[in-house]
Amino acid sequence: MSTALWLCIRLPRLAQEALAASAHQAADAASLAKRTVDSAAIEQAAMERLAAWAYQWSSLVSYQLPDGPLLWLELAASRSLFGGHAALLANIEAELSQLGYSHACALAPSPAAAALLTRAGQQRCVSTPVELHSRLEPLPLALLALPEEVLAALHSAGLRRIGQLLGLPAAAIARRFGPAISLYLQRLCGTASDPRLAWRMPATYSARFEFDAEVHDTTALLFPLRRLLLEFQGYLRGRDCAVLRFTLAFEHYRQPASGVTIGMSAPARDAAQFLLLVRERLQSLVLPAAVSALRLQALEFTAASVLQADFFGGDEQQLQQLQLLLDRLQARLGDGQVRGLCQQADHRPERSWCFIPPQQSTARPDAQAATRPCTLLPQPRRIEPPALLLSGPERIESGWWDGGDVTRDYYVARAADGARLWVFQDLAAGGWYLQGLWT
Amino acid sequence: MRAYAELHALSNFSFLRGASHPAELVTQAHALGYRALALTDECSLAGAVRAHEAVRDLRDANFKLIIGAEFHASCGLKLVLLAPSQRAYGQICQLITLGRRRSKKGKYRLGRSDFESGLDDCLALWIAPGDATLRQATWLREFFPARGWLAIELHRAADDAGRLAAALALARASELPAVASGDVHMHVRSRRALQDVLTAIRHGCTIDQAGWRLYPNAERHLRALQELANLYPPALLDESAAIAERCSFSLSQLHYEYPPELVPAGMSAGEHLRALTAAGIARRWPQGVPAAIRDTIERELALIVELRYEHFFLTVHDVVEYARRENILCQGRGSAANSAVCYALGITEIDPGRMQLLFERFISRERNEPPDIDVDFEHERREEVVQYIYRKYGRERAALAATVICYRTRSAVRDVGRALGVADADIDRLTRLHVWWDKPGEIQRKFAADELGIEPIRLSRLMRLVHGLIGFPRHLSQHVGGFVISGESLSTLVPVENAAMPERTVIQWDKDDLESLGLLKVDVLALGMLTAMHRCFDLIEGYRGARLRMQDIPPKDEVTFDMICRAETIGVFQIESRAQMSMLPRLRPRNFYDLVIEVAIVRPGPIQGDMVHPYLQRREQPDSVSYPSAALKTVLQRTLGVPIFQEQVMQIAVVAADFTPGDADGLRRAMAAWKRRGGLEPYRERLLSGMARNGYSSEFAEQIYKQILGFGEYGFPESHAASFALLTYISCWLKCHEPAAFAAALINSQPMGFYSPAQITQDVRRNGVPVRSVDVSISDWDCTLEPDSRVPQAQPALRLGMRLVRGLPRADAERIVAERAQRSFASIDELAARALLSRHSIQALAAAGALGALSAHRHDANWRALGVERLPGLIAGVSASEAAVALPAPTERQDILADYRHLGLTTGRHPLALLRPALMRKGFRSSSDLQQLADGSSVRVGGLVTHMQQPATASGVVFASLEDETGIVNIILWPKVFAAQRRCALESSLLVVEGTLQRRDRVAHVIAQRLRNGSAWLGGIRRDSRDFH
Repeated sequence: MSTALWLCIRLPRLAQEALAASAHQAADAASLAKRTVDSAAIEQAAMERLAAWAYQWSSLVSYQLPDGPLLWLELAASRSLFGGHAALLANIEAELSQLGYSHACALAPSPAAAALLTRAGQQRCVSTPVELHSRLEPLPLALLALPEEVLAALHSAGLRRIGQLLGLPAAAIARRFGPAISLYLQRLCGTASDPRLAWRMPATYSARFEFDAEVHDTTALLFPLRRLLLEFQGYLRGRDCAVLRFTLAFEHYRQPASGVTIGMSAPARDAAQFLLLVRERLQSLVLPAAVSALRLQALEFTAASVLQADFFGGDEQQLQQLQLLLDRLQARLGDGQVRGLCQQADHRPERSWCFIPPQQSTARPDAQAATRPCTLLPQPRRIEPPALLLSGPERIESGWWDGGDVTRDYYVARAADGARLWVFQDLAAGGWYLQGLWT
Repeated sequence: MRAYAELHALSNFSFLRGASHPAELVTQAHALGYRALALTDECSLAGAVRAHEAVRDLRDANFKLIIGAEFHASCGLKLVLLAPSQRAYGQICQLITLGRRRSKKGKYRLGRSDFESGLDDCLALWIAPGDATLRQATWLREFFPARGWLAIELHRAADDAGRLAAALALARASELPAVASGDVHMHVRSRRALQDVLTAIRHGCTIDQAGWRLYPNAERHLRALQELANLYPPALLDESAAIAERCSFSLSQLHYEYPPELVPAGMSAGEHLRALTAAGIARRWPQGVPAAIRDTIERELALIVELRYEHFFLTVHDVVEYARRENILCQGRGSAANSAVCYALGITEIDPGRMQLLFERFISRERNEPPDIDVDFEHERREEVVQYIYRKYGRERAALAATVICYRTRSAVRDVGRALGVADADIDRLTRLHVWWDKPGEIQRKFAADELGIEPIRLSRLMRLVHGLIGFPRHLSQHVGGFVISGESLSTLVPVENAAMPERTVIQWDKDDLESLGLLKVDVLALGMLTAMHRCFDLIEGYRGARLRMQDIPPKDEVTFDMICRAETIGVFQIESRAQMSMLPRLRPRNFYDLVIEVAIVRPGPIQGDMVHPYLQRREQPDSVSYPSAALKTVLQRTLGVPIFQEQVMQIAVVAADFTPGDADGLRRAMAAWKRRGGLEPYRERLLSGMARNGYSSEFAEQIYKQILGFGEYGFPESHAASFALLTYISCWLKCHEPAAFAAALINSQPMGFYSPAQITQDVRRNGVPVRSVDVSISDWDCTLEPDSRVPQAQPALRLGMRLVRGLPRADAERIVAERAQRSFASIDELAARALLSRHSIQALAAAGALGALSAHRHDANWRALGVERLPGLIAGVSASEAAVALPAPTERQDILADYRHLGLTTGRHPLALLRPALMRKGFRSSSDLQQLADGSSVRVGGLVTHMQQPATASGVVFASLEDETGIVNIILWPKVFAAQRRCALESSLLVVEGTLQRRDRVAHVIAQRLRNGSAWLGGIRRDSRDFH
């Protein structure tokens, strides 16, 4: 068996640097904001891309995010192809710098040792077990990827250097810290095999369609879109999954790409449904420039099981139709143009209701609402003191905490035309206002 | 205008509901011209006494307070019960007790049936729901015949008219009378915001989440009569006044019966007390009692009998006797405790012969003042005494007084902050910035808004509400030891509820409430020093063979006083604090009474009253002592003309301002209570005019008044100081003559006192006592003493106990000791196997250096401990043997660091001794160097921070103590220096100080200019400092 040789790349600032890179490319502020919250996902995605990038040098690529992030390439079999490992390492480091990632690389006969040596200052490349042993000996124990309590226990026994630990009988170590720790040490020295989970091709979807000539009209996009969406549907079926949203990016010459995100209120994978939604959206879309290429991308997938069509459930179908209607209205009118209403727990009438996103279900109105009119003016309107008060006062004093404190006496008044009005007197200033009416 | 009485009002003793203090409600209701106010807190009478005091202060016979309570039964029934008579009052107390004893602390549970019997004297207002039924109304009429009302409460809601009509219809249909009431939650409308915040806090939500749980308006305040007349039909208002008319009960009618069982049949209580006293006299004065003392005793006994306090003395005597039988050290204190009778009864150890000058204030017939006796017990054994009292009198007749826990700045900031939706991190920052001595009002001035993370408008809202909330009661806790013991069931006197501790019950009144009503309590308190003394006597007996008792300590030991004058008082009682220690070399106590003064003078009262410096001055120049008058000379002579004790202030009022003794006692009560409810002003007038009349200067009179204010909160009576001083003297004598036993006893009684075991051991080593490390082959759980058989008179060495090993359970240590007695241990494995030690315990012992006898060194011990295997069953103790491995031995520094980490102290050299060569090169001075340097020298010092204090009386000055291998360096940080370098001061374990040496009155301080954090040089010794206690 020829000696294995592992290259380990430590990427200490992967998440931040990936975020910085994508900030340049981000199509809009919203997607950027979404990314900031989920730096673990950013890191994962960046690592996936780097693994794909590393695949060009090694068919055995592996990575680990905790205690790292670390990326390993097994090189023993392939190093001759690239003119020896020194040249290869230089090449890889140059490309990493070009990609904009801080990194530390090390080469060692075991993946654990390579990972350790990325933190070892100088002399990060050793290729034989003998070299490795003498390289590890003077290094401090703290470099070992061992749990804190194990390191503390070793420290309490006066051990400070890796060599001191490696000099102890393996059985004594196993007895104190368990077999996992001695196995780690054996793997570190390359005396026990250290199988790594090999990285596999990515599972997100991205497809690009480049136009021969610039396209100026959105309707002209529909034909290529139909093809893209059908392929997408095939892909989703192949993976047996569905999506809640996908993005369409429009690339332009000499201009950053623009794009739209198509969102569904329920997971879907039906190309016809997708096309319907895209078409609604394109009708109202104004392109910033002519389109040179289209990119369809889906990053998140959900299990397909939720969309087993219920052929017999009438309510369910009605609900789906309602959702489809909502989706279409929103797609046509734009985000934020379709709203739901909700009651809000606040004594102040103007704050006792609010808008909510249309998909959210609304609770039933409170009994209190029964004594109040359904129609409220957008702003209370100053009026003359009413001539005829039918009932009242209802005193409302509330809201000091948000700067909107009110102290009011509410009355039901009758207007000259016989309409019943909801009016109040401001107890602080004395003025009278109309706030609502019964119709 | 119609007469009206508010029959349904909640104070802030309905926790997190009512937004006004009881006294505020009373005063406001009176000011509005109400006939009466019923305080009806929810299932509670905790605020009743305060309301009662407020009504008493009004001195208006036309206004009365009605005692009652509101109840929410589990079925939804809501009733207000009122007490027209004492019998009804007792019934309400019992109902509250019933509901609360069934539930955990702070809650209650009552069902409808609980109201169906036992309340036949109570009046009931039914707070009917909107959908009230005739059947419910009939229930009320059936169980409260001619005593039940339908209460109608209108708060300007949308349909007030409809509700009023429906309620009146129900009243007619059910033939129940209707009455107007207010469901009052605050005394004035402007408490609305605070009431809203309380609601949010109660629901654990923010104010904007509180929504409809808030009241829609502020109508639940005490409304003007005209407003009520606009709302209610006149008959409803008249009915409220008529109900009030039926109520004639006042809390002043309560009286108290003593438990009768302490008196044997056929004897009167007086005879029994006399017999017990006679027996005590024979024990105390076997050679015969001096005539003067016999006369005193006779006088005291006559007075006790006349005022009918025999039972009180018998009760205390019984508790003390129990402690004596059980070998629990105790010591009484308080005015009555230092009487000759109490000495004879064994309640105090202060010999009246030794102290005769003191106790003219025993009890007097003019002042209707209950006698005051607190008894301190060993802190680890007080619980036995508490349980004895419960056993003896039963839970029906004995309960602890409550302590009302009130909002303080920190808790108010936290709760209001949460209610206003301030992020937890910002609240933390606010409370952190806001170190406890800061005045709340100063926050905004001191810190910019962006520093706090809260915008200015919200911050000012927050601070306003915080200001309003501070002082609001939050919950009832148990008093540290104030027992109320009654002859009859307590629960007809005051409601009893469960405390947080299992097996504990508390009454709903605190000690001020009890005093206000003249009810007696016995204070059963815990004192760590008594525990330590007991242990010290045990240890001394162990190696000297003879038992020492408190009364055997020689009373005037010069060597002990020499030590006290040198301020070598680490660990002793009372005079061990930094402030006390810096006073000792100036005051130079040479006798017992000097100690009494020393104990009393270094306290906020005398310091705020500006009495310390005049006293010191007069002590140094006795010729300068003068007295304003001959009459005052008798009062003030023993304290050189400076009033130091509470008793003296009262006597001044009598002698110089013509107060009667009863007035003086009123003054004393007012002094204790003025922070709570003001009320000193009338006394000020009388004091000043009285003193002017007797020819005293107004300057002197004002000074006395200022001293009274200072005493108010921290008044320290001479009688307490004397009891404390006795313990101080005994602990000093023990420290002086038996330092090893004293130090061991202190460590074995931890946690207590000012000093940690590290500081105690450093101190005892500086006094020449060897301290030996923990060793499983020798140590017990507690520290022990190892006498040197060759030099029996020398101090024994102190062997540290396994109690110091961090993380070692006591049971493990005890198994080690038991197994060791069978046969010694040959190896660590054997130790673990035979003593059934967990891996964790054996590692704790190894890390603490306790396995020295079974290993080459600490590293070896740790390694072996890691390898200990506990094998099950038959093969226990026969784990596979291992080849020895060579591990490097720890350096001295590593050993010392490990000692600190795992024992909290070291038996090796002081860490500063290790650093000393390097420190000397950098020009550092040690504590002992400072003794040789001149006043005003610039110095650089460093040491482990052991204390950091900022007395409230020191206007922002911070005192720090640094320990090095030669002693303690006292540091003074002026406010500016502290503020600029606060982090460094608060976080350093080794603090480096550059500053100026100040030497005054034989005390050396370093006035700090620059601070540095030298903790890194220590390599990981954590800060072990008592900060701001």
